[in-house]
Amino acid sequence: MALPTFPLETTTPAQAALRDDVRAFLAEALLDLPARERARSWTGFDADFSKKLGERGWLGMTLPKAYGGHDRSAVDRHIVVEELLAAGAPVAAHWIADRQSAPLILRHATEEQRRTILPRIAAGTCFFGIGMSEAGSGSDLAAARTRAEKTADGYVLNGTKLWTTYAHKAHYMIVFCRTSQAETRYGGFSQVLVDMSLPGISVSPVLDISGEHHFNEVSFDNVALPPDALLGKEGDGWAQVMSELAFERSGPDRFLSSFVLVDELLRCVRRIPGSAETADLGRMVARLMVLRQMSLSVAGRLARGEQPVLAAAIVKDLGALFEQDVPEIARRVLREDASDPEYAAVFRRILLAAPSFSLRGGTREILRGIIARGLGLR
Amino acid sequence: MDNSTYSMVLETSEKLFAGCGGDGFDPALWSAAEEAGFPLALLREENGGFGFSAREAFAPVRVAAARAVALPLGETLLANWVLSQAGLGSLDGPLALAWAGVEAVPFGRHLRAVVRLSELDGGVGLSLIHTTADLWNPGTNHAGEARDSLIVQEPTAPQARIAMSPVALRALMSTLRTVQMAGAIEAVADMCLRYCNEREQFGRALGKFQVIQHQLAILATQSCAATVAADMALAAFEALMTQGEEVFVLTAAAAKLRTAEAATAAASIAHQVHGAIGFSEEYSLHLLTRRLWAWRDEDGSESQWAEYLANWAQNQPERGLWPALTACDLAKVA
Ligand SMILES: Cc1cc2nc3c(=O)[nH]c(=O)nc-3n(C[C@H](O)[C@H](O)[C@H](O)COP(=O)(O)OP(=O)(O)OC[C@H]3O[C@@H](n4cnc5c(N)ncnc54)[C@H](O)[C@@H]3O)c2cc1C
Repeated sequence: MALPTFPLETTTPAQAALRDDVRAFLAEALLDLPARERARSWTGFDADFSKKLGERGWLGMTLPKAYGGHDRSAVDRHIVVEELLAAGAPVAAHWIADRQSAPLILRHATEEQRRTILPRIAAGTCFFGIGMSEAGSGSDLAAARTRAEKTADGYVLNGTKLWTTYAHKAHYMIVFCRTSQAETRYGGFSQVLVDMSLPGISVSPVLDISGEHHFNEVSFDNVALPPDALLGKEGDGWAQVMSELAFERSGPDRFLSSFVLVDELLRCVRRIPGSAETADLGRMVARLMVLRQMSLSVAGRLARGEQPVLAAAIVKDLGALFEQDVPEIARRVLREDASDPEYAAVFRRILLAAPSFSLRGGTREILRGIIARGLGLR
Repeated sequence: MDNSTYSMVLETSEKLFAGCGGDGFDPALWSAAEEAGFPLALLREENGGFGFSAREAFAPVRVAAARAVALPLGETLLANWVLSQAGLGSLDGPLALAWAGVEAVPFGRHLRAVVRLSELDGGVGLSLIHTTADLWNPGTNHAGEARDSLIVQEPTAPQARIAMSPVALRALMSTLRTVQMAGAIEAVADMCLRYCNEREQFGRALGKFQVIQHQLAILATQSCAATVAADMALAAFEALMTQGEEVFVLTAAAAKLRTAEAATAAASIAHQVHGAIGFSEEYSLHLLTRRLWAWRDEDGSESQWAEYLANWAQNQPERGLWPALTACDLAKVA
């Protein structure tokens, strides 16, 4: 069976020290942030906090120094990200830019765009939205209908994107769209870099099942884009968006979204002696330990310049199952006795966020399709 | 990690065990394994071993498990390591470790000697008992592997002691099962994939149906998790001297638990996608799945290790789980 390998990573003293530094910083910076806020995990938005991380050199870590980055490895970045998520730091402002837009821009943007945008991402002051999904195009991204029409002085963008996380705070969106009629199903697509301050863009909130506003509907009505808005090559959009998704799928955000609840659960279990359905707790810890090493291994492979698409899909699938199991385990372990108000607030937040863990970034079914393809079944 | 040694050991093992497998102990195959030096592979060179890493030393065990070979290979490997730690050298096998009073000694009737273990002053006391087949009451595990008990268990005074806590030695013994399960799960996944590519129903190979593809995808994720878990346990054993016993025990406990969970899922999917043929004695799937069901609970049941980890987690200070987990990360050896 053509299973991917997950070589174990070991930690250098410098990496251990980096972890300690981040942890010490977070202990202070998040001192007053209650657990119910930390439970927002990577949907908690705090622009000031992002800026502070940028000042410490913990954003744009893998970018070259020439573009304001730090020339660090994917493993170093992984360590910082793990610490942020485990602490429940509000990372949403810079999250998408740091995770997937920056690598995309580094590879496909013009030199001018790299010089103006990347240093701002590394500083934690420039935020991005992902413009992939539309009403009629979710898993089936090739059904996207948003179009950028070539004109004498650039492109004109028309169409509507949906579910765009933090579009209402973003400075830029990278929009996946048609630039020509396709001869093939995956042909004729491109990615364009859209400055959100341009005229003709309207962003309207879509609330989630908790009544919270993070995603949006974004309409483009004859938005005039300059010629250099085109990212990469015209018609290469499909290949580009697939490699962008590989960055979106591999990180610790795929198994740590409900970690704050793990902490809260342990806090409350201790308070109620004898209540433990201990087998459940032990299993949870075991799964987390193995997931951490699998995800770290993917970072190691990224650091060596590999493209571990299959391994990343496997980690995301297992990670989402784990994240979604945490509230269910918590229910079993604590039974009816969850009277602690902070615990209850954290539990509700995670419970109501959980369905999204196996949707965003590629649904469970799509991931399993990718894995099946890796096994040679499709 | 020197990958070339690992691949070399894998290749040698695959050659040796090709076409083997089944419920019976094969003395000729045992001699061949012993000739290849497999049972001494955990020892340092000066003690008659090859100076292999734990992962390399256990590679033949992984392969033997994948082929459902009924040999006490890992048992002898561990017994020799324990003997050598105690300054008692090494012995020709087959050998096995067995806690005093414990029945179901692996391959009892085939052993030349048992290393009897008892808790002693925070460490483990050892006594060597030479045995012959007539001293054993035969028994089997779910897979039909010999799990025998000594007819007369005379208390013997320990001859030697190793400075390893009983729980750490238990964790080491459970790691053998973890490695075996990881090997067998991968083999099960392989069998399923081949079968689903060949078997046709409704005019198509089973593997063309999306539901079947997704079952195989789940199986693949479980197999990967099991392999990583086994590698983690072996790496933590390798680092016993530098990272300490606690890290090893926790890692081994998590690995056993996670691999057992993967084994349950793998066996269930495998029998489902195989249909009735997989339920027949003549088809070899059950050689692997019955072993998986047995190994899940041997040398520390799933529940026991779960409880161990749960207690550990609950004993951490508030918000202390995360730092405790990262403290188990393996440091790069210069
Ligand atoms: C919290 C959240 C934030 C998001 N943020 C963004 C964002 O910032 N930018 C963005 O572009 N998108 C975003 N999304 C959208 C996300 O990418 C889509 O939800 C996802 O791709 C699935 O598309 P869909 O919701 O249209 O579901 P559909 O594609 O309609 O799928 C519905 C169900 O059918 C299944 N299905 C679909 N096709 C198949 C198939 N071929 N075989 C088997 N089953 C199938 C799916 O797995 C799913 O279970 C976000 C989503 C969420 C929940």
